[in-house]
Amino acid sequence: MAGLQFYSNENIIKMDEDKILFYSGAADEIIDEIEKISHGSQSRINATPENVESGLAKLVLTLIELIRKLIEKQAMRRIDGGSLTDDQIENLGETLFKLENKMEELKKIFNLTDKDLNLNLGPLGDLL
Amino acid sequence: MSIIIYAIIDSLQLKKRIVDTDELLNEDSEDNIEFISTDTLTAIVSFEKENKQIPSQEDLLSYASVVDKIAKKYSILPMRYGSILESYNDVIALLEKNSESFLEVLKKINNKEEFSIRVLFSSQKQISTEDGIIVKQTFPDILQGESQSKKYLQSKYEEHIIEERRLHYIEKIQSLLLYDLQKISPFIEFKKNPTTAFIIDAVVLIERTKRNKLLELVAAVQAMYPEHNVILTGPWPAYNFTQMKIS
Repeated sequence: MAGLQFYSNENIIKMDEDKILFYSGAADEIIDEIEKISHGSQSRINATPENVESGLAKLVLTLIELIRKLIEKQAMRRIDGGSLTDDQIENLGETLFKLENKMEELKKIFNLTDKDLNLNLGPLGDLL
Repeated sequence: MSIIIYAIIDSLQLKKRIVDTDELLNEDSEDNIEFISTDTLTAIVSFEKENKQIPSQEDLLSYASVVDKIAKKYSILPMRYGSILESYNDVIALLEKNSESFLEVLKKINNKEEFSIRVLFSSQKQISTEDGIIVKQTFPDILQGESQSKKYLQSKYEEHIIEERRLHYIEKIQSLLLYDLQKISPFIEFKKNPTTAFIIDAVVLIERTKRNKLLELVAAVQAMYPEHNVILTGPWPAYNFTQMKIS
């Protein structure tokens, strides 16, 4: 039995005019945003024998970026919580700064941009 | 040969209201669809000689268009492109094995339509200079200083506060919309916003007769927030309210 799945309208970017019942504002702005969703839905790891290295690099860097952002978020929460000493703040700032710089270096090496470092998780939306 | 399934419908609904497939779509439709039925359920299908491995965007749109045409008149369980079975018996087995859960979902969506409501920031200027000044004034004492580390953390903290405010603002508008929507339907789903320009990306399932009430509600939201773009689309087949596991 072949795969059986329910359909989602998320990927139908082209929309009949009669489907738009109400909208206001600049059509250009709306189209821009819809196009961004369409690009997002195509951001998947596409590894083939020819590009396996860059495909893997993209996957690994995406995961590292996710973890880096989580660490950053946690750091901000700790700052809000007021539990850090001045020394800890200095260390934290330096660590996060170096981590971000290292990520920039790695992105350059593998010729990746911020937009590349994302994964579409279907109904859950984008990873980053 | 393969059998593409477009949708599943309550057999009783078909027996009561339509005679053949021409009436299901339009008489001039080029879509060649047929029915495979059990006593309780009917699959709306087409028989294909070739099984396309890589569908084009046109294939997807054409498939969605058939589902859409049927959903305009009937309450259906829409299927996703790629719902392909190999034989007539496979389709019958699918309908029989999942009869109870299919009927339950069909009952839930009976005479209802799905609409999408999206609220967008009207421009990328939502983070004002004023907000930036306020953020700088509210840095915690521990972040005050001129070292590289502190300056870096200050910029990160600023981003963090702006994001928190954005989320808080989104939550406020969501609650307001939810309060109003609940008056016309219990079936509302807020999705993860696909880009930062989105304030709300929601879907709602409402009775066919309540479409005007929804339009009025959306217009009221737009009037309340003229600085944002509110978009209402639909009716869509009930894609977002028919998620289920099948065997």
